[in-house]
Formats: sequence, structure tokens, C-alpha cells
Amino acid sequence: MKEARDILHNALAKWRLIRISEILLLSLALAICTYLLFLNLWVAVGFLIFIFTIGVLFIKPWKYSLSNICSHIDMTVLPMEHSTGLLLENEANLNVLSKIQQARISEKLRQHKRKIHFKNYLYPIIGFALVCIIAAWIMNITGVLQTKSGKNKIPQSDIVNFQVLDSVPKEIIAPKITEQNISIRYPSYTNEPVRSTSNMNLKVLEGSRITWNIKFDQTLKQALLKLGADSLEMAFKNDSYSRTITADYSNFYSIKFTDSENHGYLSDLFSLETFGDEPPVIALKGLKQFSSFEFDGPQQLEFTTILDDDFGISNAAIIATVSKGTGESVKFREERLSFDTKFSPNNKSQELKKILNLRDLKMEPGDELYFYVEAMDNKQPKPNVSRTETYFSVIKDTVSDLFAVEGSLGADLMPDYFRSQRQLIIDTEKLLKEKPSIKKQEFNSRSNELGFDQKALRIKYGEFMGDETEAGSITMGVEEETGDTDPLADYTHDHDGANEHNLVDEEHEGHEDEEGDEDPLEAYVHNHENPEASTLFAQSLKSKLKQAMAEMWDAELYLRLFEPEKSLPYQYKALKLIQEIKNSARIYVHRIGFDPPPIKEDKRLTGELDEIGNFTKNEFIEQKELYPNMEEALARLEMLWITEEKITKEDRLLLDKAGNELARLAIEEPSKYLETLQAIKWLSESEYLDVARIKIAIKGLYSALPPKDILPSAQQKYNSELTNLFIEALNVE
Amino acid sequence: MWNSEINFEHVEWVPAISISGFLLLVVFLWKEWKGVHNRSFYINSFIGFISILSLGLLMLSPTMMKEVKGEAVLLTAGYAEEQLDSLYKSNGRLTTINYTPGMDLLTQLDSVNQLLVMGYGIKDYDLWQLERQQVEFIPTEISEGIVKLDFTQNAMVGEDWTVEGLYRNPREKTKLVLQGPGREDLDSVLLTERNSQNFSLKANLKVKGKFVYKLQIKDSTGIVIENESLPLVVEAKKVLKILLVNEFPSFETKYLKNFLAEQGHEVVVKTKLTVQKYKFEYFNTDKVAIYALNTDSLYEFDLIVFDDKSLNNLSRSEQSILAKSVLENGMGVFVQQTEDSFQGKNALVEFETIRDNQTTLQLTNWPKNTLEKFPVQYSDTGLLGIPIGNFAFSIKKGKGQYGSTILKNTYQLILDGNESQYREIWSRIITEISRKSEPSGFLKSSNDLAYLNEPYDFSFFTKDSSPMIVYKELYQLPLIKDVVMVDEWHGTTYPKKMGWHSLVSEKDSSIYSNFYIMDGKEWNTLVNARTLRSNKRFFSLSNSKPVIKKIPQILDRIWFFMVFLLGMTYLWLETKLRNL
Repeated sequence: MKEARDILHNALAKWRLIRISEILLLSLALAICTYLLFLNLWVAVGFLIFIFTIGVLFIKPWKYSLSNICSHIDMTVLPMEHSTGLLLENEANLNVLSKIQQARISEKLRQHKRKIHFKNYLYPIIGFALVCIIAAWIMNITGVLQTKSGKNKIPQSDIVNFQVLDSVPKEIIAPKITEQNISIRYPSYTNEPVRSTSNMNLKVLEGSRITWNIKFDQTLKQALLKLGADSLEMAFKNDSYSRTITADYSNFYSIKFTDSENHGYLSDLFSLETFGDEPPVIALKGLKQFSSFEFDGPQQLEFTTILDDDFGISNAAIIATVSKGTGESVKFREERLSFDTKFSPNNKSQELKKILNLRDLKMEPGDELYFYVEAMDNKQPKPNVSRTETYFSVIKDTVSDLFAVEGSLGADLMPDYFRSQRQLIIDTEKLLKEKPSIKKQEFNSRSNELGFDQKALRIKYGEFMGDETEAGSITMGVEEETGDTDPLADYTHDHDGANEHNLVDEEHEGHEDEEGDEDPLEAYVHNHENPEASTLFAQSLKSKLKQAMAEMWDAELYLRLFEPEKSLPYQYKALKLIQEIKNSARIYVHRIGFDPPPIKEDKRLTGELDEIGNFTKNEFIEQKELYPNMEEALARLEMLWITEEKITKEDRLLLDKAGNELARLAIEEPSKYLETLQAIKWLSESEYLDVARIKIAIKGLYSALPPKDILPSAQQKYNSELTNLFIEALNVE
Repeated sequence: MWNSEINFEHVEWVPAISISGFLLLVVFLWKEWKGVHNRSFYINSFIGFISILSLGLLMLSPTMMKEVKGEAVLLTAGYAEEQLDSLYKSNGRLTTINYTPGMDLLTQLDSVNQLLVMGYGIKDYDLWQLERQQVEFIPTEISEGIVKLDFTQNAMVGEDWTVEGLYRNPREKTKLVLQGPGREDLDSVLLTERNSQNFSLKANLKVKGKFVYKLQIKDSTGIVIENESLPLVVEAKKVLKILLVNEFPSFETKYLKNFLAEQGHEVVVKTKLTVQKYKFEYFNTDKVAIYALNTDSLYEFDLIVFDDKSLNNLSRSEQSILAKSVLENGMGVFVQQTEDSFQGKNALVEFETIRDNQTTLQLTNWPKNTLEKFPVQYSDTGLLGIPIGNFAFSIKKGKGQYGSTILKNTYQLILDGNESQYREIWSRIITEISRKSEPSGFLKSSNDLAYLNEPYDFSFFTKDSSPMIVYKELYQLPLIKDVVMVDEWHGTTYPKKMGWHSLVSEKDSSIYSNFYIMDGKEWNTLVNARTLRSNKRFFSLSNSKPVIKKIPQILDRIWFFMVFLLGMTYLWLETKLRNL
């Protein structure tokens, strides 16, 4: 019994669902058609809701009741014996016969529940919907309907406003644009599709071809494309006015037309902005600016190059230069290398890999490699080329024991093992400054390090002094510390040394090497027994150097005692002495100068001048007036504003020229000058005057003109009789 | 003959009446004559004469001057109502005259010997009507607004044009805004002082032409209270012809020459290269050989720049030609100091200097930049010396000028990128010293603000004996020659339209003057303040003693009639009595 009722309820629900689906399908189909025809989502949604509401209200599915279902079943399912209605009756209210029939019918209904069918139009509706949608879709792509609505519906923002140039009786209906279409064809190398827009403000690539197609609702006498100073006539074909130009530079344009009754109209000013093709952007990954390799180790440089361009890259390569030898015997070899990854031209973005093996480049120890990556885009006729900065690579030379630092690599990679006296002072001061913020242990350690450096410096100067006992002892001291005879030899870039400029031959070092512990200055010393008598330096210098070393001793002492502040004065003294020694060396150079013989003043300019003539030069310098027409136009507009004069043909010509001058400025700062330019263009075309526009033009022109400096000028002055008398009286006095 | 106090109403009848009276007397005497010189004949003759005289006078109606005693008050704009009320209280017989500019005051003041003027006063062009009147001026002071204004109406492109003035009793946060063409704000000043504040507004003049700038007065909320016009004629710079003579090439001259040539001036440079060999450079002008200075070659130049050495190396005749050219033609000579030789004399000019041992100088307009200078400063205190800023000096000789500067190496300014300062220094020096060409005439007006339907007075200076001035290319204006000055002529016009107007000399159209006519409402406060000042001056100068004012009055004719009647009666009675 209950089951039978459930069946009836389900049937009711199914029926309602079918009906609603029908309405929904139908309205959906119509909405899709609407969308395809009008290309407007909101209209389509609105339409959908509208149709659906109407349909639902018409069919009223909520009014279907169980009794309707019962009668439907009675009608369609024969075995039900027109008794389905009994199922709805309350059992208690029925007589026995009815109860029996109810039970039977309930049983039958269960058996025949699959036979309950509702007549529906779902399939026809689906078919109809499909047909409609397909038809609309076809119309959409073929554009059958579009001439009237579709794409030609010019967006509100793109509607072109025209201003009448002469006073026209009100009743004349001004021609209107019914269709505007601008197609932009980028240069062929870009492989960009043709774009079309209805927006009159354009931004295009340099060299693009732009075609305006403008259709009016009336026939016109003439339509002009006013581009900068040029007026280009638009050709009339296929019911529309069109003109094609190649955009080479930014400009402004407007459209002017004359209707059949000879009334002129001018549009607002639109910008035609051009942008250039950007050069490719190259990024190198995984590469240091400088790299050096041991001769016996692997000599491979691995890096990735990422190339990007706005319209495609046509070519990329690695340009490598190998330099061999040094000094005058240096030789260069240039090679153009390709990437390991295959380069595919005309791609906008690419990632290329390269493993550069220096051995393949036949590089030997001491040789240097300079290379950079170069990429070209596909711009025509002249491609944009960009390149990375140069990267350096060197194979260390094992033969030369000189550390190949400055000079050879173009960058000073000298390690900071060795500190000059000046550097020592700077470091000591830095240490003192940092004292509060660092641990005592670290402070002491750094002070000790400075002490060591101070010692090393002293040893270096000691060598120059040729102090036998001292030099020996220091060398031993150094040995204790570093286990090397001369730990600094490799790292010395001796700025503080008295021998910085190689004034004194340093060959004695070689002697030292050869002869082991013997006096390094033996060859230069006259008195072999007495190192004090070494002739490396003049006596005064020698004593100064000694003094400097004594100061260094003291400086080192305090550094070792962790009292850098006490050490500083000694360091300064040492630095001062070293400077003096250097300067005294310089003075020596200065003395080898050229002393010109004195000039005999009485003989001067008394040579033969027969063949020398006068020199004459004649030049006409053009006046560099920046904006002559703008200035003139400003003065003229001011007069037109104040007086009741009429605008003349000459005025309009002048305004046109002024507008072209202003356009140059406006291209750079459109927001500032566009309104002015528009007003001037209008005035230059119009037959009558508009005070508001004149005001805008004057104000804009005035602010656009640069301020002027006062310049010398001829003046007039009328001297009255009285003035003359006065001047005469003054002169007599 | 006649006492000036007595006159006749019918003066034109005097001869006719005298003759007929005389004839009547002759007839009378002939009738009376009885051949006897008796007493009655004499008496009758006398009586007859008296009667005829009376009859004659009766017909001629004699008048006699009589002193008038009337008081009136002339009410001009801005008079105080309360003051007028108290005047009425003290003197009920006061007649009131309301002043309108340009009205005929003379007739109205006929019967008035005591006049009170109240308010801001009467217009300058009406003052003459009160010249012979005893006037007591009761001024009303201006309470608020611009009471003084100073600006030039003719300026050059590039100049910093200034508008200066005095604002009386500004309200809090009143703002003055100077607006340029197209009502572009150029400069503004906020008035902060309570009583009176001087203000100065500046604008760079970018463009030549005729413009009307505006001065707006805004209150603290930014609402425009007044919007007044400032007419301005901006003229373009004119080309100078300049000769530079140097004993040796120098950077100073090189940069100066480039600067001048780039500005379009005609520049000739003569630089000595070696003995008798020169380098001639001509910019913007044709080649003209200049070896020695002579009157013809000098005549063309507006300015000659010599370095001190080349000036001293001039021959005696060249020096005298140069001196004459300066004195009579108004040419300018600029002496470039090549070294510190200010103490040294030269034949033409001497600049008095004193040592100050300062080697740098700052210009007032450019306090940030320090310029190199010679360690001297100018000390000339004579009447003919004119300092140019604090860096140069000029001495007037006749019509021309000599100039020099204590600055040295000014080209350094260009190298440092301070071209503006370089331009200003040299523009001031060159403009000041170079020849001022003398036009054949000169138009001048004392009215800096001209109004619709008000007289516009102007003066025309010319040596021409019959000058003519054309107004707006329309008609000629009559001119009156000045009483004292030989070359000054005066004229007046009454503009009927607002806007720009022009006056042009008919004989030389290069002599012209542009003026702007504005609406009578503009600059109201200023005009009132000016009227007040001129009225105060006028009435304080005019006669303060009471003027005895007399007007002729006809003597009562009944008296003559009575005398005549009595005479007739006597003569009639006398015969009757004698015959008795």
C-alpha cells in the first residue's frame, strides 16, 4: 500500500522534472543562440531567466497533483481498471470491496510501474535546440548577422566624437560612423597575425602597416586622415573610407570629413604610438666572471644561456677570444662557437647549454680566454644585437712563480695576506672600533695577527736595509711561523716599500736565492765587512729606514701585547717615515728634467711673416628658435580672445604649424598636452571661434613654452631737449 | 573807462542810445535856448541832461558785480553718510551736488563760494573746474585693497616682469595671484601682515605679443574677490652690431663672441695674431675690412669691445674718432680688463677704483655661485657713473657710455654649466652700455590704466614741427604744443571700445604706442586711492584763502524811471510856474 503510494509520488516527481527540463532545455537553447548572435553573456543570461520564468508560469508544474497522476495512470495503464484513485483514499474510509480493489490495484501498480510513461517533448526539444545552436553558431562564424549588430557594435569607449567646424543649422543630421575597423599588420618577420580593433588610440610596432576602414551612415564628400602635419585622403571603396599607412614614428591623428552639404567635421585627436623591437635579453647561468683552472685538472666551463626576445631570436653564438703570451708577444685568436643544445630560430624564448672545454680551444698554461654570448633577433632589415658582458677564464701558469695578478687579468685578484703599513693602520683602527662588540679572545687574536703582519712588513724593509744579523734572525723567525723562507715573496705587492717604483734594482733577491745564507747585498756593498756601509740608500735614507723599522718594532710590541691603541702612534710614525723615503726617491727623478733656454723677449714675434696672411672667417648662425609658431600662435590667440576679430586663413595655417610643434612635445607627454593639442587642431580647422577652446589652447601653449633668459638687445631711447640740456650741463661739470 | 564792477545788460545798444540821447539833448538845449544865459537855462539844461541819462540807462539796464555767498557740498564716491548728516545739522542752507565723472561743475557752482568735497574726490580730468573755487576737501580713507601699483607695460622677451604694490589692511590669508595668458597661475603671494603689506609678483616673459595678465585677489577660502587686468606689451629682442677688438686671442672673447653670435647679433671680431696680422671673424654680417677705426666704420656699431691693451694701442686720431663717436653718436665702448691694470689710465676713460683685496664676488641674484674678480671695486661717485649690479660700471660721456667689469674669467660659468648666469651678466652689461638708437619721436602717457569713455592723455615728443598722430588707423588726433618744452606735444583721446588701441605717428609708423582700455569697474580701489592722493595734493596747493566771488546783478530800473519822471515833472512844472 505504502509502496504503491511511493510509486505515485515518484511518478509525480518525475513528471514535474520532465516538464521543468523541457522548459529549461528550451530556454537554454534560446539563450545559447542569443549569446552566439549578440556575443553578450548578460543578455544571454537574462534571456535564459526570462524564458524559463515564462515557461514555468505557463506550465505550472506545481499544480500537478497525485490525482492527476492517478487519472493519467488510469488512462495509460489498462490493467489498472480505472481504480488508481483508490490508492489515494484512506483505508479506513473504504468499504470492503473497495479495500480489496485497493489491495489489488496496489499490487498491479507495483507490477506495472514500469509502464507509467509521460508523454514528453524532450527529444524534439533537444533536436530543436541543437538545430538552433548550430544555426546560430554558423551565423556567428560566417558573420551573416554581424554587419548589423555583432562585431560592428562599436564599444562605447571607442566611439569617435566629431565636432562641427562651422556653424551649422541645428536640424542637419550629422553623419555618424556606423563601423570602424582598424587593422594592424605587424612587419612580416614578427609572424604576428593581423590584428583588428575599433579603438582609435593605437600602439603598434615600428614599421607596422595600419589600415583604417571607416563606414559612415551618409555619403560624404571627402574624408581625410590628418596625421601630424599631413592630410591623407581616404579612399572610398566597399562603402567605407580606408587608408593604409606605415607607422614609423609616434604621432597624433584625427579624422576630418566633409559631408555632402560641405560642412566640415573633425574628430578628437588620437594617438598613434609606436614602439621599437626590443633587443634580445641574454642571461647566463652558472658562470663566474672570472675562473681559473689548474693545468693538470679538468678545464671545463659549463653554463646555461637563457635567451628572450619579443618577436623571436634568429641567431645566437659564443664569441671566444684566446690570448697567448704576454707583453709585446701577445697573440689573439677569435672563434665563434655554437651551443651544444640545438638552436631553433624564431623562437621567442630559448634555453641553451654549453660545455666549454678549454683544451678543445688549444689553450696552454698562461693562456687566457675571454668570451661573451651574442644574440640577434629577427628584426628586419637590421636585426637588434645584444651581448653579455665578457667572462674571463685562465689556465694557471705553472712556470712563472710570480702570482699573475694585476695587469694580466684585467682585475686585481691579489690576496690580502700581506698588509701594507697603511692597511695595518686601517685594520688597527677598525679593530679598535669594533672592540666593544667582539669577544676579548677574538680581539686578542686579531691584535696578534696584526702584530704578525707588522713583523712581516718590517722583515721586508729589513731586506732593503741589508742588515745582516737582523735579516737572518727574521728569516728564522718567519720559518718558525710558516715553514717558508720567504712567505711573502709571492704575495707582495709592495706599495709601501721604498722600492715601489723599481728605482733600486731588486736583483739582490736573486743573489740571496742562489747563494743561500750569504749576505744578499754582497754584490753592491763596497765594504763587505760592514753592512752599515751598504750603498743601497743614501745615508739619510738609511737612517730614516732604520728609524721606521724601530717604530715598527714598537708597533708590533704593543700589538702583541693586545694594546693596539698604544701601537697606533708608532704605526703612524712608521708610515710617515716610509712616505718620506718614497718622496725622497721621487725628487731624484724630478731632477732629470728639461730646462728650456730663456726666451729673449726682444726677439719674440720678429720672424718673417711675409707668407702669413690675415685669417678671415664669415659665418651666419641660424637662430635656434625652438617653437616659433607656437609663440606666434599664442600671441595671435590672445588677440582673438580679447578682440572681436575673425579667424583668418593665415591664422588657421599658423595654428596648424603650432599644433605640429606641440605634437612633438605631446608625443612625449600626452597627458599634459593632448587637450591643448586637440583644441589647437580644432581651431586650426574650424570656421568659427570657440572661447573655451581658445582659453585651453592659450593656457596649454603658454605652459608648454620654456622660460626664456634675458638676452642683450638693442634699445631705443628718445632724448628730449631737456635731457640733452641736462647731459650737456653734466659734461661741462 | 568803465568801472569793471558796472556793466550793461544791453551793451550792444550803447552807441545807438548815446547818439539818440545826445541828439535829444541838442534838440532840448536848442529849444531851451532863449538867447539869455540865465540861471533857469542852466538848471533846466542840467535837469534835462539827467532825465535823458536816466531814460538811456532805463533802456540799457546797467548791471553791477555783487559778491555771492552760497555753500554747497559735492558728494563723490565713498563719502560718509554720517559726516554729511552732521554737516546738514550745522548748516541747513547747504546745497548738495552729486558728482558724476565728466560733469559740468562750473555752472552748478556759480552761486557757491564755499564748496565742500566729500569722498575720494573728483577725477583728475575734472579738477580744473575747481581751480578758482575755495574748496574744503573732506577725504574718505581707503579701508582695504590695493592702493599702490607699479608695473611696466612694455617689456622685452626673457625679462622677469615684476608687479609691485601695496595692499592696505589685508584680511587674514588673502592671496594675490598673478595669472598669465590663458589664466595660467604664474606667481602668488599670501598676505600676512595686518596693516599694510608691500607685495611683489614676478613672471618670466616667454613670448612676444600683446597680452592681458590678471591679478586676482582671493580670500582665505579661495574665492576670487577681484580680478583685475594688467595689460602688457612684450617685444622681441633686437639685433645689435658689435665689434670686438683684441690684442691677443682669449677665452673670454671667444665665449662672449659665441654667445652674442648665437643670439643672432651681428658680431665682428678682430684679433691680433702677430705683428700686423689679424684674425677677422664675421658672424651674421657681411665682410667689411676693419683695419683702422674711422668715422664711417664706427658709425654702424652699437658697441665696441676693446681689451685694455688694444684700447691703449689706438693711434691718437683713432682715439679722437672713437671719443667723438661715443660723445655724439651715443656709441658704447666696453673695456675688457686683461690684467689688473685698473689703476692705469687710458686716454679715453678712467674708471675710479679702490683696492679691496677680494678675489671673489657673489651676485645678488645668484648668491650660491662665487665668481672670480680682480681685487678692486668701483668707487666712482660722480653723477655720470652708473653701476651695473655690483660687478660692472659704466660712465656716461655725451650720448654714449663707457663700461667695464671687475669680473674675470666669466667663461668659467659656461664651463661649469651656469649658462643662465653668464647670460644675465653679459646681457645686463651689453644692454646697458650699447648705443640706444634714437627714434624720431616718442609717445608717452601718464595713464597706466586707461578706461572706457574717459580721456586718455598722451604726450608726443618729437623734433618735427608739425607732428601728426593717428588713432587706431582711423583718424588724426589734434595736438597742442607744450608751453615750455620745444619738442613736447599733448593730445587726448576718448576711447569708446574696450581692448587694445594704438597711437601711431603718421610720419613714422615705427613710432607707436599700444594701450589697453578696460572696463570702468576694474582697479576700483586703486583708482580711488589715486584720485584721493591727487585731490589731496590739488586742494592743499590751491588757494585756501576765502575767494570773494561776484556775479553781475541788474540794478533796479525803477530808480531811473523815477529820476526821469521827477525831471520831466520839474521841467513841466517849471514852465507852468514861470508863466504864472
